[in-house]
Amino acid sequence: MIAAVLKKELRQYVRDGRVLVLVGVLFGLGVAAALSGWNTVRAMEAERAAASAVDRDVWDNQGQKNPHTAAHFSRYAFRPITNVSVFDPGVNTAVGGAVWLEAHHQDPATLRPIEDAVEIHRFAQLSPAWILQCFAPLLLVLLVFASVAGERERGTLRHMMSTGVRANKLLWGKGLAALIVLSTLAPLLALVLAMVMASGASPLPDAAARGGLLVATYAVYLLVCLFIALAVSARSRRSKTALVVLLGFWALSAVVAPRLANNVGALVHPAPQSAEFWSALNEASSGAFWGTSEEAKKRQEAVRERALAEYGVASVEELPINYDGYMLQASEEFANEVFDEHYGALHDTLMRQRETARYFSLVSPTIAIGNISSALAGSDVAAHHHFTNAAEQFRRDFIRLLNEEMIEHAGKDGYNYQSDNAFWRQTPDFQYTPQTISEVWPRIWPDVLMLALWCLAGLSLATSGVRASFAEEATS
Amino acid sequence: MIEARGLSKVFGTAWALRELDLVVAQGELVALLGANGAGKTTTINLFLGFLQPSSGVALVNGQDVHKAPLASKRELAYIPEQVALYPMLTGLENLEFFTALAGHTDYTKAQLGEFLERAGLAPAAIERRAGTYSKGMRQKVGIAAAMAKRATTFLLDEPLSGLDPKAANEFSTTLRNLKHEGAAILMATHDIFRAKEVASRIGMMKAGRLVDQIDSASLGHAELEAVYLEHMRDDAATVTARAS
Repeated sequence: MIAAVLKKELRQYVRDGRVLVLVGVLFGLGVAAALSGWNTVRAMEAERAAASAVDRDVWDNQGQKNPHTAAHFSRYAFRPITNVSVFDPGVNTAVGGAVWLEAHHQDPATLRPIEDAVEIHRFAQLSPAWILQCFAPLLLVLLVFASVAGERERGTLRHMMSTGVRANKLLWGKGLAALIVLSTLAPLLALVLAMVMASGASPLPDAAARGGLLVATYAVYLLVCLFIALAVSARSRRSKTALVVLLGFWALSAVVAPRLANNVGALVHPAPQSAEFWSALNEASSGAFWGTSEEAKKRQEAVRERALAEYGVASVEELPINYDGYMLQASEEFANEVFDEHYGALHDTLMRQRETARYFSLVSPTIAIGNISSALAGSDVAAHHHFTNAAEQFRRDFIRLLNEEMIEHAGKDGYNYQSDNAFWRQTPDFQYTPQTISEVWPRIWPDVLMLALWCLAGLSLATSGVRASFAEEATS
Repeated sequence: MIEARGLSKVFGTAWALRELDLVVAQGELVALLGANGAGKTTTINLFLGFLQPSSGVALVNGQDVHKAPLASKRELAYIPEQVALYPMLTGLENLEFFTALAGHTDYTKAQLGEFLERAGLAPAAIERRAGTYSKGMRQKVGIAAAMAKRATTFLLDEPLSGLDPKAANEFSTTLRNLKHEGAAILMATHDIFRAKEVASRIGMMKAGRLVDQIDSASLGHAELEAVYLEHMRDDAATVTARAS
């Protein structure tokens, strides 16, 4: 019975030229998205590799310079572009891929591709993930909106019921047919995979597990969309009504809710204004140590006493080390605590915004799959935060290395001491390892759970909807 | 065989069908006449299992349609006023689908084509999309589906309504053939003259009751119409007297 319904549905889809056009358009969009993602990632990776090489070269060959001057001149920590971001670039283009490793400052990431993008690119970035999240559900809506309502309108539902067809078999036959039409986009996945492999970008850890989870969660997401479309079609007396309701839901879920969720998150948990944040951070990290206030003077005096006690001498002049370097390192350690406090508070605010936004997945499964997709692709805000944390840890170690060079070798020369290329060339490069899937899982399981609940609810609604349409048709 | 025993249906406080006792034997066609709301379609819906009876039983070939819904439908064909088909599929593909739903998936295209031709569909129309079919042609696909299903019992709900005289005549011929082949047919209709022409017996329904059953051969067209109109008058005494 399911096979009969399936065959009939597929025949109708093939006869209906509109379906072929829709599938063709979506396929074309998918190909364009894959090529665009591949091109972007290749360009970003090439740019990163070139910039990284130049940065190393400039650092290594900067000549004779005081280590602290070099610490202000400093280097960049570049975030490797991961190959899965061909599929889902997430926030990569908006958050920046390089952090300037400067003394006294924890700088935000810079080199954001979106700054160079045209306006339309800022609105919606064409990516295979976006096609699947936004347009594949639209295709399902257009395939399925008349599936049950249309049968009622034509009178064929009654005809089928007289043969003894069961509601659940009709549901599965129709659902499978729509999924088969959707599966004609499968070559697109192969293309995306080929583009991922050919991008030349760094592979993410646990790539196979990530790929498997991505396929599984997107499959569940599309099932959710299918079940909802079938449920609405079954509950509507007219197919036009079903179409209007489904387009409304699609617009709410795929277009409005993700943006609204972020806006509400920011409204409920406002982050400080940029100028306000930097001003407070500078005052608390630099002014509070190097300033002329009593408090700053006390801090400097405490460092002096600590140094004298540490080396068992009575005056700075007697210290066997360079005191300027010692002070610089002490100021770094003081500032690091301030950075942890301020950036920590900012991060907490952003996470609270994210948690608030996540509640909107109760009305929009697109939010849940969006969170899962970008997390697994290593391109969400948390992945960026992981990178900036790693960069900051490297900055602290790197600046300590430069300060220690000054402490140990500058002697009485102080700021006049100069290191040379031999020293610069000994310093390490920033190495970044993205999070493993076990580190990613704790932040996506609520979204996976939400998607599973949506799927169960959708199946239940679709099943009860088709049964209700049978009952209504019987009494009509 | 189609059989109702004390079959009743109440919607809220309104009786749609009250205490129907009726037997349609194999080789017999019983036509139910009555005004709109008399209970004809409710009777058909009860035999189809679409409605749960308030009391009594509806039997098709000895199977209670509510206790054994699939078994009772196995040899049952239903032809409504408008046979609904899929406009983008051909007549043959529509027939293939509905016979497959009924569990007959082993027919070849040639065999399905033969059913359509036997039902009276022109060979040239068989491979045409059903969206281009007239009502009469759709009825023929419905008949072909019943034949392909090897149905022995038929429920027809206003099948002649809206057919042109030629198509109605062809449909009547098909019904007579089915009857002669041993089918049990229950037909709800408003068409007194076609009912007289094809039915073995004619049941008259009013306000949910079967108020009369007449051997169609016992009366002429005019007499039948007179009896029908007499029943349809809002005169309870007359109706009761005749029903008794």
